[in-house]
Amino acid sequence: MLISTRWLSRHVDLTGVDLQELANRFTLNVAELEGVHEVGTGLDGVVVGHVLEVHPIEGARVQRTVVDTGPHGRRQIVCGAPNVAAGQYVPVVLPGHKIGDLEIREAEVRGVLSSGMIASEKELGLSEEHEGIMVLDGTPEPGAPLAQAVDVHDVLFEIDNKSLTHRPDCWGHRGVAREVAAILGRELKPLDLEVAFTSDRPLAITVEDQKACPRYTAVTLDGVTVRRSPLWMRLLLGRVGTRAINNVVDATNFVMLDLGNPLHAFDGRQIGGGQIVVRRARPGESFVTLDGQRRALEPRDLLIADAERGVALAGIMGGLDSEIQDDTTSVVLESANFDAGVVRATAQRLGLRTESSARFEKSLDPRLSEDASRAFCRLLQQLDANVRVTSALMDVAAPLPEPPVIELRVQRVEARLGVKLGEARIADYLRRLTFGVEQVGEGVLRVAVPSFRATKDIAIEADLIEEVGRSFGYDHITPAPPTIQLARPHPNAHKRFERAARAYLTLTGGFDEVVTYSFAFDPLLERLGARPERRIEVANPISAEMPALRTDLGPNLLGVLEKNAREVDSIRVFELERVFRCPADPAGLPVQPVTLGGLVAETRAPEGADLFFALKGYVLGLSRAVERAPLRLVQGGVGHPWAHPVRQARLFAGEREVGYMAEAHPLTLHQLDVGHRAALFEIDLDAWRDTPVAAPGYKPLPRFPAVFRDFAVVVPGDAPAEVVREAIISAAPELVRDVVFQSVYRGQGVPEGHKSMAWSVTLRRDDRTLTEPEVRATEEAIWRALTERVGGRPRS
Amino acid sequence: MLDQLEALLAEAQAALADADSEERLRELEVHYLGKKGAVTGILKGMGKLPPEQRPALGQKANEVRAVVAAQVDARRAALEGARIAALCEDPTFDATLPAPRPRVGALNPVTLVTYHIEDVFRAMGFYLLDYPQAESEFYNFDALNIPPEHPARDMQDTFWLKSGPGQLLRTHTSPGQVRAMRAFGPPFRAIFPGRVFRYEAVDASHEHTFHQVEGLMIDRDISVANLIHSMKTLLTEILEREVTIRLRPGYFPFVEPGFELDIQCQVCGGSGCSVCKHSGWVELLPCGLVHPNVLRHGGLDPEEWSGWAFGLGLSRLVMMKYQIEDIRHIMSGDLRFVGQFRQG
Repeated sequence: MLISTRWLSRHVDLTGVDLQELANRFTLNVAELEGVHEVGTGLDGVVVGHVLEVHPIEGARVQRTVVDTGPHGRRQIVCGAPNVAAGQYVPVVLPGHKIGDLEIREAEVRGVLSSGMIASEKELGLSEEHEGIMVLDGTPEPGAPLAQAVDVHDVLFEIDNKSLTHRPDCWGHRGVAREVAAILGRELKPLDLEVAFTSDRPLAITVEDQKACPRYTAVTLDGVTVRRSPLWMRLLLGRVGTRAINNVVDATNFVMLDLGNPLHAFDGRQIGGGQIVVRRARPGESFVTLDGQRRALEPRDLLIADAERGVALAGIMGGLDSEIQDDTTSVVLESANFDAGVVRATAQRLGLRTESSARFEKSLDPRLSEDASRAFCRLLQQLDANVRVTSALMDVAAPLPEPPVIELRVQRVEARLGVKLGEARIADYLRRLTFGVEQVGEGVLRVAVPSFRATKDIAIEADLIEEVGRSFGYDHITPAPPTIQLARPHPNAHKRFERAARAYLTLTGGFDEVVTYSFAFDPLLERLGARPERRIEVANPISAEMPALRTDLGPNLLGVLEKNAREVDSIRVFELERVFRCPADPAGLPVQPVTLGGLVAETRAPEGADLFFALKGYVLGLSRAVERAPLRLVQGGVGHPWAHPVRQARLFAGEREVGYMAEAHPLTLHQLDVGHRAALFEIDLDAWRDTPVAAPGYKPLPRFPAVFRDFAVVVPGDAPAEVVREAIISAAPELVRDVVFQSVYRGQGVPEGHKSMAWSVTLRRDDRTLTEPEVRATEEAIWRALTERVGGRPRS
Repeated sequence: MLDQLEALLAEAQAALADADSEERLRELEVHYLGKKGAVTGILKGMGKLPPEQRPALGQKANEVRAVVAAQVDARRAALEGARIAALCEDPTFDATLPAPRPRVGALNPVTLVTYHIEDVFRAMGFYLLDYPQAESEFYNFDALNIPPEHPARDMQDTFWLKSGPGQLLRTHTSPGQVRAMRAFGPPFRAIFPGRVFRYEAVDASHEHTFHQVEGLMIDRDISVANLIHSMKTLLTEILEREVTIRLRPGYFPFVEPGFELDIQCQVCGGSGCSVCKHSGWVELLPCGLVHPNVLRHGGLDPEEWSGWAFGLGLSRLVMMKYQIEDIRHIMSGDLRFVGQFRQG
């Protein structure tokens, strides 16, 4: 939003004020100024000219003019603007001067010597108006510098609109001027809103929904002549980004930009039956807005209607049919207050954000409606003495809310801000901002909130503390370290757990950490053959391809493989984040376990299950790193379509299933069109975290020597290694201290359908050295167990 | 027999001098000095000698044994010395030849920056917490004093979930404020970093998924002066350089007073440049004193307890720290990006 300081000075005296310094203070005390722009500079050599003669030039669209520029003489100037006419006072750029980057020289145009240029407002940088030359009001002295004859110089403050979302009072120059007056400690000039109302042409106003429209005021004005607004007003409007249309529309905009309350002027002839009804739209109703678009309405949209049809979309935009026509003499002015939520919902649904809706969305003060009505009447009469107010101020209002009165404790202000201010200073700051302040006890003030601050912003003591704080200036507060109580320590256990897992995977396994979206990516899932049924859908997905939350990390890891496959032969990645599943309790939040997923992929992976086992090594090693129950693999039972149908296993911590690992399904790799083979795992860390194990402990060192024995055993091909191992232990649980797998072999010398496994076994007693016969007996027991439990026999 | 011993000695000495390996030396040792060795063999014939000659022969045999044993030892020492000397030679050695290296993975820069922040805060007694990303409207909005009509609740800003009424993806890390107050009770201090979600079109500087860290200090009589001091201290640690900060009014329903915190532009030092849009200041984070209504939702009496809170854009900090020009790299899964953060 652009604020003109020249406009501000209508409300507060800015004489002698350093505007740059004021801008800095405004940013620190009120809201962020994004820029300070000076306009109307660089007009040296632009003087007032009086157009004496205008002559056509044969065969040319341009015309020859004779212009009196006082001391600069009578000049012949060729002018291309269609609106140039004898008798006008215009800005003339004298030869030898620059306007922007354009240097004006005496030159021949169409065979005619042109000595200067008659400029448009846009060419002079005064507004966006470029249809024709600028025409000055009144009879200024020819030859006078333009900057003296017209108020062209101004300094504009550009306020970040977002920083005013809670300040409905600052959406007009007067509100900003109030803050400026408080900063400067100067007086805010009073408004004169005296209007002579009559009752010649009464209006009937019906408000059907007072919650949506807490106040509706209207007034009829007659004797209006629709014409161009005076230059000073057009310049002010143009400067703050509003295009001048005609005196009536410009006056509504001017009052809105001045006081902050949007107004709407209807053509008096178009208000059927002299009736205004504020109502919700009817089912199936539509409405053509000023911009010519037909809008389908919904029953929650608020409409201003006459006896028959809609004439305005409340608080957003008027209707095309009731727009002010050039030949009208009668105007019905609406100055109302609409509910912020109602306006916002409609504006948003229709994608129709206007200066008006932006203001109503901030919750305007209903008391402002009347002020704006009166200001409009005064302004229009000031512009044209023939204008008569022909109605009373029609006013339909719900009881206006009483602005709150808040008790403010001086000690509390000082404690919260951390600075000693004293009661007098606090009261002064608040009074400057037009709060009513009254002392009601030792160190207690009773503060009356002005109505324009009460709609949204100020309701409790803390809000007043902020007012005092910003008035004092937060940059004047001396930083002080907090005095805090010792809090109980927190083990941060889950962070330690996650850090250990990350450190292990990066440092031991060489895995890179990726972070990917929490949304499922359906085109990828489709290629993986996944058809997720129970997952959490997003009501308003960012794209149709990401309609739900991800239930697993695996697909995204495979997506990372796909993405990097062309560049990287050997890929190891992991992600540690939440996934989302439907809760068991339908009223509860989604189940969202922190999950660890990893993937290894190689273009040159050997045949067979080596890749699976390479990954298994890392997965099992994790339990040491994170100090949790060791993981156990149970072959089979993994349902994911991206898992290899055979080379897969579920992961258990104790009796609890916490995840899976698998080689990637060959079809998955085919679908991803990568030359890699891959294996991946996922572990629910929240589940695993609940299975702590005792930290490693000390046992006395063995005092007697161990005996080592190797076993080469031929077993049926489908005998699981774990079962073979358990068979060895079962033979002498008290003596077998370690069983280490060495190798497995199939082929020559081993019968078809069998495999030969080599195991190293450590035997030891704690109370004495094992004897030879004991060792021999144990070896025999192990062989017996291998034979009986897994059909094993010694390899010959 | 004495002559035999002399001859044997000479033979042994010659053989030992030629012994060029430990194996050969061991063989000779056994051959001459072993239980069934040559010296013993000669002594076996001693019974045939007259008794008076026997002591001399015995003495001679012991001498031969000692001399041979000494030579074995000497030879062994020489061989060992030569072996060690040989091991110390390597004419082709080149320390600069490349070596196979253990594979080390890279942590994501989001994690690196999170760790740094966590370490700073943990050292100052803050808890490190983690809260749900799929949240309820209550914790994300209501408990934070954000009114029902607030624009933030729009479909244009918030991802709403179909899993249940009022369920959404958290739009900020702030829902953790009330969760933490309810979980711990006063006084305490905590940070909670994590993912947040906004319904937003993705471009070089906007993501619908990004990372924040929330900070919260709850104690008695926490003031704006404390907030300024805390922020300055923490930002100096996090940015690893002295920073100049300023607070200006900012509106966030869950703090009162609320602030936008700016840091003096690190590029131009405050004199104005394109990075700070010629203002000398860069907006860094919103913060403020916890709103009394939020304290109440957390079960705390605002008359007794107070606190400060801030929300820091982690993704933005990552981009600032590593000068990453496009936020989309972070979530891309592109290993050419992640791989750059490999340590060592």
